[in-house]
Amino acid sequence: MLYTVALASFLACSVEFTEAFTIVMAVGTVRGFRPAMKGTVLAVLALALLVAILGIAVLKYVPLDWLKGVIGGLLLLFGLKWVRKAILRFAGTVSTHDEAQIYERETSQLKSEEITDFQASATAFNGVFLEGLEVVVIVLTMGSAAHQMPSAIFGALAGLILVLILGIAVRGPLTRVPENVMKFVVGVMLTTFGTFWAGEALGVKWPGADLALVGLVVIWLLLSEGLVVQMKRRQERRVA
Amino acid sequence: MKVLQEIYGLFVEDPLLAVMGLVALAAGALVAHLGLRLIGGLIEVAVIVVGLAWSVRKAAH
Repeated sequence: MLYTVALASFLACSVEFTEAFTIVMAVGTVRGFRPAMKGTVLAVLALALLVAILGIAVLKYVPLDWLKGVIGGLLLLFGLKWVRKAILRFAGTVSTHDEAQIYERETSQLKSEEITDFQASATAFNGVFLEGLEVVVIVLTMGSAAHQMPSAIFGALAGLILVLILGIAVRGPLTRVPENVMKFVVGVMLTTFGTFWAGEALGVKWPGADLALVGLVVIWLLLSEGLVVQMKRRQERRVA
Repeated sequence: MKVLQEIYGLFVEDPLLAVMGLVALAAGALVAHLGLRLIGGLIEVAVIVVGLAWSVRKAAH
């Protein structure tokens, strides 16, 4: 078990499960949990089918060396996207993610439209499928790039179980999950792994081998912190 | 088509940052294949640093 992969997968997937849970909860509250669960189960089945088809096709037709490079590259793009968003949120340029606000917006929209059971299932399906797609990408890229699929799956399952337990206990959106901080931590971890694995697959040699991962984490943390401070100062100057 | 857009959106929010990420990998790989494998990593990181800083500053304007 590689704990760094399990932790990154756990944090990233918990964020996605929390977001999916909010949508299912909103649909369930407005229209009942039967159509909400129907949409959820269908989305999970669709994702399983997608993973099976894509997984078989990719493993059969794409050479392993290419696969490592491509997966590392995707991980880097995914991580950079999350880090960028987190920096902009902490700097105050973009509004922070608020689960309570999203829940309110979803429920009021569903109430105003007077949706049928089919539409309720479709809403739950869309939410779970799209958030689930991110979970699939996280688990597949991290698991295969590090050759630690069990660690990535373990992290994702732990996240799912935790979100379900908390969600059932709270019976509402999980507003206290520190999603913005989690997304920042995960963004830094994904960017670090992506930089390292993609580089390695493309022939780069990292000083200190695996220890270089620690150095990369420090670089991305310092850069992010520096950019947040710089953006905040710039905004203060604008206001003054 | 919508699914493809969603998949694209999973990885790309700022297309220029994504391009810089890919340029970083290409530059690192090129230098590594010229025999300078340690320098390749340094160049990869440097290009990503520039890309991220540029993308964040652009978004804040």
